[in-house]
Amino acid sequence: MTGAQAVLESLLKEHVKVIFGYPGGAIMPVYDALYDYKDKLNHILVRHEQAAGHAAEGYARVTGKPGVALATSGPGATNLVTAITDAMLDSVPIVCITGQVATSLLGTDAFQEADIIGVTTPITKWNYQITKASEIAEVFAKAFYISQTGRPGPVLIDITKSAQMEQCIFKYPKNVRLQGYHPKTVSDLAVIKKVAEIVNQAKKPFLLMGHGVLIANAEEEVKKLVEKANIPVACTLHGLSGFPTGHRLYKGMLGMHGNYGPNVLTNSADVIIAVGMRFDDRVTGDVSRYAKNARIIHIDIDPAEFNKNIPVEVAILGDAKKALQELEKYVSYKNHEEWLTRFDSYKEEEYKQVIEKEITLKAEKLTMASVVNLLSEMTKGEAVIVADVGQNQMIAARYYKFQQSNSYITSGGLGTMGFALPAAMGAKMGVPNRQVIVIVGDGGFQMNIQELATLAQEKLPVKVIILNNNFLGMVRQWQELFFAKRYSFVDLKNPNFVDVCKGFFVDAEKVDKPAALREALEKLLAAEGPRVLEVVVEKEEKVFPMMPTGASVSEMRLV
Amino acid sequence: MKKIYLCTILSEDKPGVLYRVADIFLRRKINIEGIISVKNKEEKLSKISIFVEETQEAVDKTIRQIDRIIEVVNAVAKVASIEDIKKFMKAGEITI
Repeated sequence: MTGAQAVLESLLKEHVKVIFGYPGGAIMPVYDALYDYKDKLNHILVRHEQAAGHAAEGYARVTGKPGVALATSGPGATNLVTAITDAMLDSVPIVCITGQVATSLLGTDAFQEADIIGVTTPITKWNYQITKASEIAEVFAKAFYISQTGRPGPVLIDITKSAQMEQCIFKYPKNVRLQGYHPKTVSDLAVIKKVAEIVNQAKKPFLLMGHGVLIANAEEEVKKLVEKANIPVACTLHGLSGFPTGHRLYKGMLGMHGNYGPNVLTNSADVIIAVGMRFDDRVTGDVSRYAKNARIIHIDIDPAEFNKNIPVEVAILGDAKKALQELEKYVSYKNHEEWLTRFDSYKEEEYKQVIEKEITLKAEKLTMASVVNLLSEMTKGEAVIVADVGQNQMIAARYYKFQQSNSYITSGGLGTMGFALPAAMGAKMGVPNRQVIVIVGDGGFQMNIQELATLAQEKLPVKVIILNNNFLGMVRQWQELFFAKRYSFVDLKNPNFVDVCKGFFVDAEKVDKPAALREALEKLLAAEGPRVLEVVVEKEEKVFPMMPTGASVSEMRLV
Repeated sequence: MKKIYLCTILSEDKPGVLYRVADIFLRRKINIEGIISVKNKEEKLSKISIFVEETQEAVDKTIRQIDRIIEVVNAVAKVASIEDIKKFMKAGEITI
């Protein structure tokens, strides 16, 4: 068969069902072969390669399986760069396949030649340039294995046009052996016993769960552990939805715009069990004043994360699921009621000073939080929320009451505006039976707005809520608080979003009165195809609480 | 306190590994003082020796990130001895 056919056969061997892509010169042999694979591989034609990358991420985030993006050489490949970086920072398994100029033309500045291996080396877990068709099967097997094992991440396979056209014998390897790559799956029992001892002696233990828990499918194990040992839990942004929000031990979200109690009390805890999280600067604030009273236990699959930002006392290297199963055996129930009730007083204060006024529907103006709160209520917390970046993202994280895991998809590490719409397309392809809702600002919606065309073409019932404050809201908030209200290039003269959507053949509606919100949301949720709801919200709403840059977690501001 | 460290990286002999290693030093703005990369044909491995002047903490973190590179089999660092530096200087004089 040809190299191009070998590419598609490799995808089938990896049980790939859907590809997000965009054709072009150097990938044409693969697209030609794809013509005969239409019934086996579903190809979604995006309108920009960046969107293919984010869609692959959205697919991977809800299914746990690698998402696949396909693009041509040169600009097609470089357009993937933002999505690849996004996947790198958020540990998302995606496999990007790019066409490349013919092997004989490599390095000659040929038409649409870009050194995409050079460009993506710092932003991929692994990448490889195929110049001979005979390499295809082995390289694909490696790529898929690397992307989804250990700490997942993006891989890129660059294939020259000549390799796509060459004949080869296709033999897909059953096992992949890599001399230097052995993701750890078991944890050291001696360390686990020591950790259990520390946990059992703790007076004020606190478990911080991150994305790693969701990746390892260890949500139940976290729940069992904290229930057995009676320990409060808080989630990082990507840990959200992994622990039921209504649970008595759930204390909220960590981080810059997280909940008041879990942030402040991080500095009171005497033992911190950090699971599948990496002490990101948005979580720790000033590291020199972070959790100084705590003995820190860190469970992670990536050894490079230990002691990177925060010194830890005991590190457990390995899969979170197995480590937690082991740990649970050795911990015992302790009465931490006094410690647990300390969270309550902070929760009350946050409710009184921030939440209550934010979520209450007022007569005249809508707040972002009131929209998300009503949406949460109407969907019973069961939807997949795909948030963009900025205020919309933080409000969605704070006010949506998640009941199911893998339900909050957002660009956390890289903070990529324009992520939400394409990522939601991928998420919807991954979980077609779940309600997938985009929450996006008026700024972010205009980055990758072209994907409305993809939604319309594929009739993908993704629902979009634009929280429109006619500002780049988060930057404006910072300018108000830290730059003396010098609003520098943050006010937007927006298009008529409803007209734009309709121009793309996507139904849309605009709401600016609180009284009309419920009915508009009902219509949005009931729509059979894609639908957009633009909600005009208060212009100068701010997200609180807030931990200013350089502040300590205990210095969270409520106003 | 900064000292001269010798980082020894054992890796599969594949193109691009040195690129990834150098990039990790670059991201942390660590200047490479000296570098030798030699193939070991029997084991099909390549041994990269890198001298840097840095703090223990920065070197440790960098080494752990290098160890993450898929092709890297092992990465370690130690404070360079006078002997190490002499050997390196001598190797640098070799002309092929």
